[in-house]
Amino acid sequence: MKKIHQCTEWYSFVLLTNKTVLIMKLSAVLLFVSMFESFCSVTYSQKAMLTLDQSDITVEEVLRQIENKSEFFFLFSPKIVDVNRKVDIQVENKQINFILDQLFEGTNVKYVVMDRQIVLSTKELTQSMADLIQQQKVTGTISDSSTRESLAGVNILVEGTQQGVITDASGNYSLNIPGQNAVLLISYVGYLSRRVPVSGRSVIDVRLSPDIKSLEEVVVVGYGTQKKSLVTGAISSIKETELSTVSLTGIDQALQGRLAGVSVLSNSGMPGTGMKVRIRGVGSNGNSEPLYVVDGIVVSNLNNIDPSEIASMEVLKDAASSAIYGAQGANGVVMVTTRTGKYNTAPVIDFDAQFGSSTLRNLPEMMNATEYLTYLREAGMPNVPDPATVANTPTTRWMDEIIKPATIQRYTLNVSGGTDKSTYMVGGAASNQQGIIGGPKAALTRYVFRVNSDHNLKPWLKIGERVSFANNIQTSIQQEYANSVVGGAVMMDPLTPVIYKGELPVNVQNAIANGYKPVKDDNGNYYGIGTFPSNEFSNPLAVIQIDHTKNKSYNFSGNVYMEIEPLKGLKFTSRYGIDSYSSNYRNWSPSYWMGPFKYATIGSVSVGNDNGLKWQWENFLNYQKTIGKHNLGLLAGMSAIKSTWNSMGTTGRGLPQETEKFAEIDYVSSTMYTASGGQGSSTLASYYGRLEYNFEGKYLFNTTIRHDGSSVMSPEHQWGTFPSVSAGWVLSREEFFSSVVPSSIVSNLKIRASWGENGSISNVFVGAWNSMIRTGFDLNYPANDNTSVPGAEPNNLPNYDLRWETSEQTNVGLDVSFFNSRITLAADYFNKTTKDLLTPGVAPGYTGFGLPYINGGNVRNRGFELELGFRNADNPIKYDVTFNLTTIRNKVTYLNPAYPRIVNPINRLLNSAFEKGYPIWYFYGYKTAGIFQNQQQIDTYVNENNLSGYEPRPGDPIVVNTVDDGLISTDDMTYIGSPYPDYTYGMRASLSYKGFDFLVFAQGQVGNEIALAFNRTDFPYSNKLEYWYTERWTGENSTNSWFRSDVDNPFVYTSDLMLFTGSYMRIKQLQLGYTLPKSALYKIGIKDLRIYVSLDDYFTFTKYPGMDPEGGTLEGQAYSVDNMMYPVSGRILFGLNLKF
Amino acid sequence: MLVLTSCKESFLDADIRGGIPLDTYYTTDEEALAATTAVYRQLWSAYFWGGPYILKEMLSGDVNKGGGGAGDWPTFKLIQTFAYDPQNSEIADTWNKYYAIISRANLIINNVTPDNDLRKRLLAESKTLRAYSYFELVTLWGGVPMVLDITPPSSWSTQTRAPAADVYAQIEKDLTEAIEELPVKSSYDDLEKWRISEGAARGILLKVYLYEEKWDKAIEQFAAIESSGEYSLEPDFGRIFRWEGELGNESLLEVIFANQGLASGAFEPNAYDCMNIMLMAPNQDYYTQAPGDSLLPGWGFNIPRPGIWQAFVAAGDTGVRRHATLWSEAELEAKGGRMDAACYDFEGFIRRKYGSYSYETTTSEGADPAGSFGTNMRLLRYADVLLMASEAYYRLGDESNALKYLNMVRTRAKMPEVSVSGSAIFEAIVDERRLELAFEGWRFQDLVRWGLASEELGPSGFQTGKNELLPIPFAERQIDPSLEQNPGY
Repeated sequence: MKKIHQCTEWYSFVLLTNKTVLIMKLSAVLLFVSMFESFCSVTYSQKAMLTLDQSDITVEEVLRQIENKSEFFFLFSPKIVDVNRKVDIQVENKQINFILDQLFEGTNVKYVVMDRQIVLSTKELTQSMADLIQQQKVTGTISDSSTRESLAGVNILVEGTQQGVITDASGNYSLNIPGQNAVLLISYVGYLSRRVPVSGRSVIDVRLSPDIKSLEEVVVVGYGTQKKSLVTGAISSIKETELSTVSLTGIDQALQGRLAGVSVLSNSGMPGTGMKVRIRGVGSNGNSEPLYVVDGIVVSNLNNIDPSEIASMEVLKDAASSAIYGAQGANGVVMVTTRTGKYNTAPVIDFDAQFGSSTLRNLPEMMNATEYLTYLREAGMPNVPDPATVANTPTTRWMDEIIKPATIQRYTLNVSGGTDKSTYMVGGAASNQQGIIGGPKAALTRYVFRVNSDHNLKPWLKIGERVSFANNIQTSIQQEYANSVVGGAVMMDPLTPVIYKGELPVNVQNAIANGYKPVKDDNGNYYGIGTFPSNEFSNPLAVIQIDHTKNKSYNFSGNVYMEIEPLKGLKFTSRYGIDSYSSNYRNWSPSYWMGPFKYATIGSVSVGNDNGLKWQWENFLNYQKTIGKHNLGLLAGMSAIKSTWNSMGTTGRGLPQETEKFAEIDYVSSTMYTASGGQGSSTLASYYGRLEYNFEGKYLFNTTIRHDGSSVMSPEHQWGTFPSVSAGWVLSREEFFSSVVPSSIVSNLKIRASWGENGSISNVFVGAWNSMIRTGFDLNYPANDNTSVPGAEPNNLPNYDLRWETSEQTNVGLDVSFFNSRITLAADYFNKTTKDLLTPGVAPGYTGFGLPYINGGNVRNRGFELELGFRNADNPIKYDVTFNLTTIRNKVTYLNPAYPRIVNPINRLLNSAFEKGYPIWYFYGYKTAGIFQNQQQIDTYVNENNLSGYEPRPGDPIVVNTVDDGLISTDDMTYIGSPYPDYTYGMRASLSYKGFDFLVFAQGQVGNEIALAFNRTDFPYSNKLEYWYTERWTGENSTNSWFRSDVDNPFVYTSDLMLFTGSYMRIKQLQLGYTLPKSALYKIGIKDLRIYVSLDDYFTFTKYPGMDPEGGTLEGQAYSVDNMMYPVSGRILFGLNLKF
Repeated sequence: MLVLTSCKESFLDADIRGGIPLDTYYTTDEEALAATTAVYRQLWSAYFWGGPYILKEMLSGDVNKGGGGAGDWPTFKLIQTFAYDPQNSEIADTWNKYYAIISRANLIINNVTPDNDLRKRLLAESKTLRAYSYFELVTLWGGVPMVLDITPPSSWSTQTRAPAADVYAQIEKDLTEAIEELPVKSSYDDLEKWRISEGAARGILLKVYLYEEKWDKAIEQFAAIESSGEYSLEPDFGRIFRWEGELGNESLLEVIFANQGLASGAFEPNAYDCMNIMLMAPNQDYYTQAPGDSLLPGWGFNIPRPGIWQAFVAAGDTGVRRHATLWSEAELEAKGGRMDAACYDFEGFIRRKYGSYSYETTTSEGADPAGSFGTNMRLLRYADVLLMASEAYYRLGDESNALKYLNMVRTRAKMPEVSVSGSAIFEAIVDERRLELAFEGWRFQDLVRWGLASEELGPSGFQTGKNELLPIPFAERQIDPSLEQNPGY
């Protein structure tokens, strides 16, 4: 294929220069000849049939006619061949040989037909020419510089021509060259191209180094792309090659630990629960998620994209980069570009398969039966038997009971390719991830389909689309807080058996006698009911047993676009995209009894439907112009976005049979339903522009502006304007620099600075500023047991001044690369202040109403980011090591004077607070200073502090008297810790040798405090971490760091004792792969085959004693809070990547 | 793009669904009715969960906090032991709940025009509810910010406490105006008996005058209530707090709780139930119901202390009233029930008034009976009115009327009449109010009013000169430091 193609190209070229060919000198003739023979077949001359019927014309005219009627062309010297000779010629459907024999009959002219080329000459000359051809042949083998593996399909081109060959399966090539001074250009996808002068050699073996072209990389920015070398903002990227090693189904998880300034926190380890992504710290209340832009279209999350579909991900971190997204950009922007095919490329089929098993790697240790009973007795709890009397009772380890290894599998298939006018990628992915708790009841099955294509219809017109469809089927179990499955496993006493064997306890017998239904396992055994008062939390296995929650969602998103280029450099793009979802929720549970306060006497089913559509229409003009050394780029555009949503839900009670197939609203036997539903919409209109300018790629300047109007704000505050400027200076291009520092040492040095403003309204809803009268069930008043009367009241006080939240950010940065990009370094310092932070408002109680949102205060995040890379692709052992480090200081710099401190309860005991001078939502509680060892120490402390009413016992914590008012009271609560790490880091190293590759990827954080928020003093019989038992104060001088056995002391449970250092390092990935030799695969049509084994999230190094140092909570503004969420699992995976 | 530009304004028009801007509301009768219902709903919310009832009970000296343990709602323990501080969330909660009623009433009073009888009545109902709320605030906190309209944010930091006298004056004004327009209770339809009637407003005003020691005016209001013939004592004390006694002849003001609406199993309450009843039911983990008795288990808050039992014993009240108010452990055991002594804060007595009776709950449609108590809360009943009258007559020196009304209450309670004179009458009234109105939330305010708080509550931790008034909630003073704090906090 390739040969013919190349040949055709060359042929066209010759035709265009037909005239000049005739007067070429011999040397030139030889050039063409040699070029030809190397890669064209000789079949054309046998196939081509010509008809000529002319009298009294010159030989030259005959030759010209042959050239016109066929693909033949002639090479000759007029000095040798007399072309002015007149001839007659009549042939019909004859081969060229026949015609030429006739034409030159009786002359000394000989001819040689080489495919389409015909050389006319004298006999002698033809012979010497053939000799020359023989001499000018070059052969050799192309191989990988480090693995020494031969490379098949490498392009070899003679410089200055279109002449070339590709290597065969063994990496060998053979090529005729025009002369000793020819230069070979050798290129191969994924490798650095090489330019090799022939210099008289006839055997040239070449080794290619893998391509690490980081400097000339192109990065995706808003509404366009930029050469990385010209970027003046702070943008981090992840490329396809790195994403290809990801063994996860969620792309947001793939961001974790890879980029400086990007922190990814798990919401929960339950499959499909999603992550919290925070770019450059927590700059907002509630929703601080970045803006996600997929192929230019804003989407609500990245849940519906498979990593295999992605070509690159860019994170726009500083204001100057994200300001082009104005009102939506304050929390940073994640740009995802999906893959498509390459022009002029044969179809490539990529198939990936992954399967494996996950299990919990870090089990929290809870007290065993003896420890539990001892602890409760010491804490003075009544009705606790002597541990000695229950010595034979086995301990139920609830965590072990609920955790079961679960399977993971994922398959992707993508086909991509392109012609000279079009490219395409069609593909799909299917995955299934079972939960380690609940198995198929906490599982995610996902199907993703994608079609991307681009078509150059005219030189000035291009159209295309990016379309994806995803189907998620997610089952889930209850999580977070005491009534969750994990909560039950943590809090259930260790004496209760999982199931009862033999006679049932009296309380269970009574419940059955009274018609209640204790839960049975699949074998018909009753699940154990808490031995001690357990209130809301229950046997976690029974909770799993009755839970049937399934959510099916369908997402369709993508865009169609049109690009018109009426003038060179001027491009108009119109892009229309949608992001839509439809989801169906169903939950049913039978009647059950799990204790006197957790039961249902009737089965119920809830069904809900939600759908939403966001459409977005973008129209923008791009203009690129180079005038001398001045390079100019202009962008101007408009955008309109409208989001709409609808929801509907129904609950019915009373199932004719409490089984899956009767769990539908249609079959509910009772007439009792509750229903809810609603709809809403919001709009955003925007105008934006950008000016890029650079001088010689040396002095760089960029400015953007965006003007946004949103329907969620009041008419007076509807519009906001967000500007940015940035500049860069590429020192390495300065003569004074390169004369001192050779480019072989510092190949690139750029300093850059930026400033900009962005807005955020993601926490505000339509009408939030206004006071609206609302009605509803919850405002009605009961007249008696049958009737109620409707009520109506304002939902809140109005806040007509509600303004945009604005984040202002300054960034200075440095990009350096050393030794031909073997070492790269990017360092940034940023200072980001979010002003007029939207805070849930607190009006004084005497106003009688809440205030939904106020512009509460300013929060500053500032810090350093470092991304460091070491690469070497030339050695047999190739390595690529990247390291990133982020340090962020978060501080509230201003708070609306009306609210000196806003306190938000984390649970009933611990609090977080928002206050000037402290990190946003810092931990607020009692500060302790050790443990009282004896009464004398207590008396001294009470006297010294003049305290009254404070009567601790030995073994209680020493509460710091921060307010000297003679009391230890809630006034003494203060800052006890920050939920934010001092620094976070990530390290990824990949090594390869021959066919083997090895990857280690670690990520961690240092210095944050985690609140152990799952203790409940209102459930004093709940089990606790074993740590509390082993470390407890047991008498004078036993310990000064942990308190005596205690189940309810607020000075313990509302103190810094409940905070633990959350530093950890997690080996996110350990992967070992082997790529089979290409030479072997080439013969069976496989281009690439890699197999690997991967350990994901398998090793965690931490001193944190709770569930998981990654914490996790579903609440938007809670950080480093351990609420007993579904834990993150460790996974062992096997996989293969296949390309053919 | 042209389309977008020209439609720019309308494209951004917000579609605020399900809401009507505040300034266009309160114009029709229907709107006035619904808005007034929302005021009642706030009163309902105040009594639904925690709130003033539990708070005032904790201050009474007659109860222990109870519940699952010391760590279960510890803020109430601090109140019970008078160890609370301005950051106590329950104190702020009650403060907020009364102002929630006031702010909604303000909207009606300021926006509904009295164009017809219905609107006049709704204005009067709202004024009464506002007055009642201010009465609770002024008796618990002293002078408070007097909010009679929407308070714009610009004035939040300068809001001051009105002197108590001004608050009382406003209460009197509201009630006096309301009484003019309110119908008598019997003129309401059965389904509207929960509305404020003339009698209710007069009963509240009677109480206000009593606290202001305006004895003449108190008697004036009592005379009007008595002569209306609208109210009488329920002959059977045990029936007052039962279902049958709801909105009965003895009732002046009641908050309706109902079994109506859907509950969907455990921990999903009925739409209009009273969760406080379950909160206060005997602790499920220690309580065994007596066969045939209907008192269901619950979360065990608000447990009688021995003092209130001894008061009944001392008064010789062993009959129907005591039986319907509390039981001893021995009585429970005699009936075959049991209370484990290990139960937190349990000192041998089980409360029966506002008990968690099975007949007040429902299990229909799978409702959680614990979350479905339809027990109404009685805010003002005729026995209270009679005892207040007795006290006012006593203060005016009319001992015979004082004894007359006191003995009406005693007789109904199957107690012998008292015939004492002088301060013994006052002592008898004090005792009688404690027994008759036990666990109804008035004890603390009565004791403070009588100057008996330090004597009666001192052993519970009451500090004279401080605990007569609750602290202004911490959060209020954070926003507005010019709100002066009460002494001692």
